[in-house]
Amino acid sequence: MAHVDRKHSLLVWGYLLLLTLLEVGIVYIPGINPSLMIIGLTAMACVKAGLVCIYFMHLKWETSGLKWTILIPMLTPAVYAVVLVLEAAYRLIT
Amino acid sequence: MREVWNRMSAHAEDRVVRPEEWPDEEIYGNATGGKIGMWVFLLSDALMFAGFLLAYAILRGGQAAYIAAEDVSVVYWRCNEAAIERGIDCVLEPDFGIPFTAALTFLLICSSVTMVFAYYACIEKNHKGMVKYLWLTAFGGFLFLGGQYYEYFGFGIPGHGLYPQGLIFGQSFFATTFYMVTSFHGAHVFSGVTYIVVMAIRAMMGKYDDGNQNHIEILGLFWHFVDLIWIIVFTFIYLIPSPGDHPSFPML
Repeated sequence: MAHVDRKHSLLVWGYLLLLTLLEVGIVYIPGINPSLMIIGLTAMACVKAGLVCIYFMHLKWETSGLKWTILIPMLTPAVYAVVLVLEAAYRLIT
Repeated sequence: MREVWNRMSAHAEDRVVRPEEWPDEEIYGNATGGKIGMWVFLLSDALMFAGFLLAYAILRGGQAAYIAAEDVSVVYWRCNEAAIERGIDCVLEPDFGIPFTAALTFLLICSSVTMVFAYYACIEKNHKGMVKYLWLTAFGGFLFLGGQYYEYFGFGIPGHGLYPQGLIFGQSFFATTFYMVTSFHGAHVFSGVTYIVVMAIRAMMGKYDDGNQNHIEILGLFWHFVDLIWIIVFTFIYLIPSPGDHPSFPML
């Protein structure tokens, strides 16, 4: 769907820059809990990737059919990563 | 089936059919064949990146050090103090220079915005703006490639570049997976820059002056995907610390 919205594009650009700065800032916080850092960095990366997909790649203006067609395959490696983390955690415990 | 045939026929008869004129369909709306095709390609590409990243994560998570100390004959790597506190021998790690790669991230994000502006200019039939923003996007990608070359080889400056510092492909799991992921992304940036240059030349020839944004939108999908992948790579490879970095990190 053709649309022109420079204001929102610049706003998304601002959010992406802000999140990048926050990500880099978190790494330099002395004595930060590493688990908290990883969760924070992963969450911010997901938000950034989501912003690019939704606004820059125009998913917001696509049909739900196309959205799901893209989202479901994209989630499979994430699910696999969670399985791997759980498996590693299990090996640590036992 | 009839719907698909109608779509194909429409495309064959009129190659400059506007996305708005594309026959509306129940599941994909009036998304053009080119757009759906690019999305399918990007999905397969994303799964390939995911495979590389998971391989990196598994191999990286299983080692205390990036590379065994005795295998390194370089002086530039830093010794990880936290690892020493844990009783692990000096863990040698390359100095990634996070601010530098953060600047590269900034560059790609800016080039994504210029690509969006090229798309807007195309819709508004603004020939000059479209050409300007396409070249700016290509320039951003070109600078990124230069940055990546500097990161790998340091332009011959002593003490600069990961390769001269001893992070050599094939010498460790880390080095191999690091170069696989980042160079595969670099190859995408190179393809993207080439694609943009071709489209910018076509735009200069007036091929997209009719306000049909379809081809520019498909190009944009590819370029934003390159940006999206770098966001993930930057976080998972450069920012997330190695197990040796923190005393409280569990080792596998």
